[in-house]
Amino acid sequence: MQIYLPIAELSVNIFLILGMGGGVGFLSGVFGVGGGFLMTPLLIFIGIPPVVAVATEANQIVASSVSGVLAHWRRGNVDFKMGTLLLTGGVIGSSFGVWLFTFLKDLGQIDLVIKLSYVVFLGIIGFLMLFESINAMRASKSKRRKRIHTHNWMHGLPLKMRFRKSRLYISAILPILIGIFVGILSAIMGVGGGFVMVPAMIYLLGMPTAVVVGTSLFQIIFVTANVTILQAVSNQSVDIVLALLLLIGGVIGAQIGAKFGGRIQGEQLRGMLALIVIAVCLKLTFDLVVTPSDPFAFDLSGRH
Amino acid sequence: MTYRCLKIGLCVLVMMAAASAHAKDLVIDLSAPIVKITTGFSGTELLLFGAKRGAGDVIVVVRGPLEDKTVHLKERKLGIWVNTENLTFEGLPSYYWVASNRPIFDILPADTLTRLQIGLDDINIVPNRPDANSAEAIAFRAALVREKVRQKLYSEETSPLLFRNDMLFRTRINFPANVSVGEFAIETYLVRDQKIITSETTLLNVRKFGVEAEVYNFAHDQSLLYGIFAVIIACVAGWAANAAFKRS
Repeated sequence: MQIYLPIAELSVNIFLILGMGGGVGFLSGVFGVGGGFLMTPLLIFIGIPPVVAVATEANQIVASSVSGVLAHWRRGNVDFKMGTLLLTGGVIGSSFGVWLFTFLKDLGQIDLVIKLSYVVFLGIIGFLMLFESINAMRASKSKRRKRIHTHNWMHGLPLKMRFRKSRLYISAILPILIGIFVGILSAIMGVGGGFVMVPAMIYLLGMPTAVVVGTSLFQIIFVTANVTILQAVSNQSVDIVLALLLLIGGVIGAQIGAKFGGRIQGEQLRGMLALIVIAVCLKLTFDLVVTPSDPFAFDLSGRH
Repeated sequence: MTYRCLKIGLCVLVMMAAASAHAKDLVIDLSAPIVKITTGFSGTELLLFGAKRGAGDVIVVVRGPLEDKTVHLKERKLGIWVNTENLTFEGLPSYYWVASNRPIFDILPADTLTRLQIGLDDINIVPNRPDANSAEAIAFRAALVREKVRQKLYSEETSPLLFRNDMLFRTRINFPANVSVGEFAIETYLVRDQKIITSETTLLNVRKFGVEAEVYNFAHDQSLLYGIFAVIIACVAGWAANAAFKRS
């Protein structure tokens, strides 16, 4: 069954979109990532103009994150204090990011910047997480538990705050800086930023894995809401019909995913996410390196 | 049943067209004066029919609203393929379609085809940079036409136009789902002995209707409200899904 999308201005198969929403939503619920790093390339792949894909995906992530965060909240897995600091930085960063996006688009190099950002970030994070989780799985079998975190330069920063839920006493500057950085990536890459946020919370802030997923989803809601509104105003590229279809599949998938994720151990969860991240990274690298069938590329935008 | 009604209706219209052809040498009409893009739209087909007086060939050219397109050339730099050069073409038809009863090159001389921009090779697609060297511009232009043909927005071959007798003719125009909205110009030429006897121009409107139009206008006229509305819908949907799952 075909449905016409009013903003993307093309006709798509309704079940394909629902299926994509469901599949990516499931991963979103399991891993606490928005799923944008999978969905945005998928949407572009089926022919949605990139400007519409980025903006609409932000809107859809709002829904799947709300749904996901409620499930985590009931289990007490959201650190609202930490989340508020992260989203403060995230709103600043994503606003700057939308401006930067427009600037790079005018230079004609936004496509390359987007793809290279994906390759670099997915590559680094994927392999880091994979090695970490393999080490952790080995360690938990043979030796006793390591210390939760070690002291380093970050603990010398001012404005220290206590985060009871995360069992941390760290400077407020660090979460805000992470928020700004992830916010910029979020706007440029058309993602929620969970795949950067989750490892940053685990490895930089030293938060416990159980709280990380819910808190990440919590801050993603606000960053993607900010991106949705900014994109709607500057590009009129949020396709509400496409977003609704994606989120119908997405919220259901996220619910199932959240229940499924609760039953898996942290190390295994990280290991599986790492493999998915590496797979997407390799696919993108392959596309950049392999000789294209047509050396000419086109602006897909259907605006007139 | 509906098909039969349509057929009878078309016959009546064709007869009316034929009657008025006594006054004019060429009369045409469409099976619908407007293409409505609604939720279920996945492309459509229109029937163009008409009547002519006397012998002669008929060529029909359909052009969509004008648009600008940028073409990028990819080159391998440091192992990866990057966009190195680009060329923007301005004011090209977003949709282009030609039908005729026999090959257009047999009907009209090449210079007339070029002047009237009939046929894929003669569409006026000019780069916005006058300094773009011609061989390069031709390669970019060819790539753009290739892409348009791939999207079924340009017809690579001339579509068949059928004569019913000396007077009546008809042809089918295909519009893909990704067709642009706006005003389409349909030019019909009556040609005899390599000369254009007369021509007729009909306008066809492609417009969004119903929910599609409302969403589009809302997004463009009140973009801030639209953005906020989109976020609220997303929040409500997320909450609703969660509530539904909690109960079960």
